[in-house]
Amino acid sequence: MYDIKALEEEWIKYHRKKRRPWYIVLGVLALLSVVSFLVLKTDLPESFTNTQKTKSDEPVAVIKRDILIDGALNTLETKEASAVIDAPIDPAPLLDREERAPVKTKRKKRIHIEVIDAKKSTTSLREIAKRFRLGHDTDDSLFLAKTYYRQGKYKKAAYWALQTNKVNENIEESWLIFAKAKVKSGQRNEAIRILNTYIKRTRSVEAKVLLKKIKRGSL
Amino acid sequence: MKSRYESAKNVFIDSVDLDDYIELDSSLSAYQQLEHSIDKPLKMILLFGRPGTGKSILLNRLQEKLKHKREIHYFDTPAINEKEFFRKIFKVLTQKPLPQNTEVNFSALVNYCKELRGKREIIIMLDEAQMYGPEMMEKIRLLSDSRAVKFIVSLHKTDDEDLVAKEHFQSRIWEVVELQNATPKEQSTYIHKKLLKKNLFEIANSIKEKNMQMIHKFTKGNYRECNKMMFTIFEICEYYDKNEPSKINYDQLPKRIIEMAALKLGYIHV
Repeated sequence: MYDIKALEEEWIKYHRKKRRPWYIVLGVLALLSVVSFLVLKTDLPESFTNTQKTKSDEPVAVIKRDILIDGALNTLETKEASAVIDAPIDPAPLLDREERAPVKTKRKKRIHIEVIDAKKSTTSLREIAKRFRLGHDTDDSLFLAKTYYRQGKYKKAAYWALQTNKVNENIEESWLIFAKAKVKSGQRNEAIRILNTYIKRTRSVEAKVLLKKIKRGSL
Repeated sequence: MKSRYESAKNVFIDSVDLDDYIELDSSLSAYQQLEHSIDKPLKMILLFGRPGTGKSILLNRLQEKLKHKREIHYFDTPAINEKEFFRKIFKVLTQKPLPQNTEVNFSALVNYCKELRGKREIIIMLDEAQMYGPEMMEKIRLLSDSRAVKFIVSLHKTDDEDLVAKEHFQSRIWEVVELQNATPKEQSTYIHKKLLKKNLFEIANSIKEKNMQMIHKFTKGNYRECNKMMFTIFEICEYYDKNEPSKINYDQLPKRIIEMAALKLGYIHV
């Protein structure tokens, strides 16, 4: 008969040795799970902060979208317009209801940039004028015309509207601003003459409506 | 009190006992091949296989079956020397013992064999033939050339020397019957049949398929190793049955006991 006790001890040692790789695998798995848990735990506040940041950055995102849609001019337009918002100006009393809707939308945009001070806006307008001279972009000149018109600087408005027409004579908005600016500067007849010429060429309904208003004196 | 495992242990004592012979598919096929080869006009037949694949018991069975039909002789152990070997051959051929203080003249023996051609057909089975030297093998071949004596040579197949021996034999046109280790299924049948032959049904049923797989893994299907393993397993079981019955499951052979036996026999190490 064998020494069973010794054989049992030998078997226990063998059994332990046989299971060792499993223990190692389990240990490594446990370690990995702990490490991954810790990593996830430390990552959580960060991701939470990121979410918050994104939320606070939302207006910026909106502005960026505006830039994409309307171009750089619109951004600057809204900045400059901050001073105008408070003034009770209805820029398009002659326009029908359908047209007023987009104007209102633009006002909403201006709310975001109300914080920008007037000095900076003036600087911006100068920069746009400078840029126009270099690139002759009608978006720049039209923007300046509209802005000066809203600000009540009608001569400047008429000037920038004219600059726009010189580059591209098919921009209706520019013609209308030019006519309205002329009326506001006291050159009503000049405005009527310009509008008649434009209507002859394009048969624009908008221009006809504006002409009627000017003639009635309701501008 | 006698343990139930004592009888089971004794079933696996390694011996060449024809009563314990278990007929398996592979051994039956080898037997038929060997029997068929004897009928062929071959001078020598080579029975080949690793130790413990059942060569000796196959030769014994062949002799048992054919002893009444043919003149068949079984040399279980190799002769100590050439003189002794030829003394045995002389007795087989002449059916008389060699007189004392006389030696066999090999040339006379070959001539005697030639005279026997057509009269007698003698089959001599040489077990453990790897023990015979090349010179002796050459003399055996010369005797077989007489066509009166047919030799069945049983050889061990080990990694080095016997491969060389096999090549030596194969250079002559002989029939080769090779025995293989048992497959898991064959080994399982072997163990069950052995136990059932001794009416040990409960013990046979306690060895489940998984146990059989483990045993096969350790013994690699070798019958001798299997006998050793089963003997050791039942010896450990016997100890527990007598001394610590709580440690043994009578319904299923514990895996632990198989591993303990494997440790004891050196199949596995700590």
